[in-house]
Amino acid sequence: MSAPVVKVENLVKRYRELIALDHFNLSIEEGEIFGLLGPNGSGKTTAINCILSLLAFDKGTIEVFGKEMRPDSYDLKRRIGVVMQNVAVFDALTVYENIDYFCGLYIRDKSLRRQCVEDAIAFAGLSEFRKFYPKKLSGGLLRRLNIACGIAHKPKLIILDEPTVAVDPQSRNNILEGITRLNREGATVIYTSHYMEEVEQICSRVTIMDKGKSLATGTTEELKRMIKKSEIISIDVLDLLPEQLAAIRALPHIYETSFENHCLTILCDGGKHNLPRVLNYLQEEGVPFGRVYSELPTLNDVFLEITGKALRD
Amino acid sequence: MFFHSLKYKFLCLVRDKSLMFWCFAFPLLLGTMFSFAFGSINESDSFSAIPVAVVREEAAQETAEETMLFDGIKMLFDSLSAEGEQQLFTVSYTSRDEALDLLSRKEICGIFTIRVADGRIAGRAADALLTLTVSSEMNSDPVSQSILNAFTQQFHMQYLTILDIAVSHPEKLGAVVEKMTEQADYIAEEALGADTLDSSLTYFFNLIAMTCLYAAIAGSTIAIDHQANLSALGARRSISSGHRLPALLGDLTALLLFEFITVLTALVYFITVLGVDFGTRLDGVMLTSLCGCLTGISLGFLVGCIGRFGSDTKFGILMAVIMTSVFLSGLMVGNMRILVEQFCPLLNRINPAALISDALYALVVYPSGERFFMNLAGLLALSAVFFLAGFVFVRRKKYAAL
Repeated sequence: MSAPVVKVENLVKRYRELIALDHFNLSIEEGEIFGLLGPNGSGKTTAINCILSLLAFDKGTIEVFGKEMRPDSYDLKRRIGVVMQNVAVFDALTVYENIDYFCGLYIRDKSLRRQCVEDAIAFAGLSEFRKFYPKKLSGGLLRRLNIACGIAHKPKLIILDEPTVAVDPQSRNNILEGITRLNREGATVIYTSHYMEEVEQICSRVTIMDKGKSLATGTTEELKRMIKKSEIISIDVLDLLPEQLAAIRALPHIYETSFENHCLTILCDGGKHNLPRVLNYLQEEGVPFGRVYSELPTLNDVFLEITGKALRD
Repeated sequence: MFFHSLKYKFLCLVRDKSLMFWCFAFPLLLGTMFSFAFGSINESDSFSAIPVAVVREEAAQETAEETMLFDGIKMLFDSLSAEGEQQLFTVSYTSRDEALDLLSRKEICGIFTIRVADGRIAGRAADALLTLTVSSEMNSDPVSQSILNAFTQQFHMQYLTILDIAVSHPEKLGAVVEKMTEQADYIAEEALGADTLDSSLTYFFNLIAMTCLYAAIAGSTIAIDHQANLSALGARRSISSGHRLPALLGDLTALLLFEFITVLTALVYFITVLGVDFGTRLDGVMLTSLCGCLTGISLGFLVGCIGRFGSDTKFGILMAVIMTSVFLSGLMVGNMRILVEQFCPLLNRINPAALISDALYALVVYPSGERFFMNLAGLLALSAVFFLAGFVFVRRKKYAAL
């Protein structure tokens, strides 16, 4: 089995009294789209900066492509592409020139670079805007330019730090599709975000972070299985007696019920056919009901159950 | 990497409208304003010959010596009224009444009366030989009267010399008078070196110094854009696969090239359009400009490297430093550099604007290059100190915080 593309062990980073990373561990295999999910300030960007050897850390080890990552590990850096949270482009250079400049920091051969730049422009859907200056681009296009600058040299490991912040839904979908495509073409991707929907949509494995700690790691399904809640049933009901609510609570795999504003909410901890069982009971009792919803848990539910707070708190 | 960075940095600089204004347009505007201001001053200062009347007070009997003395003094006035740069007077030889009439009509500024016939040559009282009469009216020309007074006093002081030569070697009187006129320095400032120095030129020297030091603004941007803890661009560059030094040197070289072009443009404009005379040693002027730009860039680079203030704060700090520097070198008050030299000469040795201005001054005034090269050495030493201190910060490979 090949070495992990990124391996972080017991990483500790302190800012005076504040512990930004608290014995943080990470292992990312080749070909993954790995999500680092956590609220703002949870340590995602700090972890990325440590992995990139930009930030000094207090303790721990970091290996990339099986080698220790150091500031002068230029052979490793050549295989890494980074898209930072803040857009980093030159206002005075056009789209083409910006991509060419950053690609030129990795590739010296002009003809090869020209091809890479063209590929990056096509990838980011910026063909029509190649002569535009960044100030003339919309927020979404600017983010796409930022990504194109980071991946133009065709890196094997791509690190994207919240690339969709302040981006419209259409551009967001475009960016997410692009990341999936890069992965299909052979790149390993580390994707940090506090948007759980994005992480669920594209990541093969996820680490949930909070206060500099890795709380849980696994596929989205594995993470969801870690929590008690497996299904949430919501039913519009005109009226319900306390005895009837207690009877529903007593049904198999139901561990919590509530009735507020004519809405019956039922939390199930697994099992099958929970919804038909509840509906049968309501029909038997002659309780009229309207719309019925059944939801599976999200990563937010996972985060909520692990930390006691919502992801966007 | 070096040429790749140089190319794109140069493009960025050329397209930066704010930088183009401060580095290109502002010095030209300021130079034009200087030109208008000094043009009118120079016009008002321009000297025209002072009209005077010379009256001979004749006696019934005059000796040959006295006639010769009068002829000698007349030669003096003829020499001073000869057309050319040295012309001091426009002389009318008239009778006393006619001269008084001209004075009352303000057609002349003064009357010189020569009284040679008192029967004595040797031991003659100087003030009796040549007397000056000027108008006592309030609206008469005080500058011309001052010059006439100065001339008369000078004549009285040099009387014996002139007298001796007029008597013994009258043929040499003209040459002696010419020499004395030069020493008197009534109307012309004598250059100490190869070229003449227009007093307004020092303002243009300081303007060149300011243009050079404006390079500091872009220099600070380069420093900020190369450090991961100061900018997103710095972070992106820090994680690229190449060593940072070639890219950094490429950027700095592009800036030096750009700034040198801006200063050369200003120089060409000043010389060709505004008619400012920087002397004949233009190669030295360009070398000074190049060294000045280097010092400006290094100053900005150092300020850009120090501390984690925003770019606006650093811009403000740099503007304060530059304006103080050019103020102390005399951009706003012409003789400021001389005052600083009197009270705190060390300041002139470490003030980049003063070094640039003094190097340009030395080029025009001193034929030997000693002072000029001393100033250049000072600029290069300052640049080296600023760059080395800046590189200490930039060479950091990991940061405690981003």
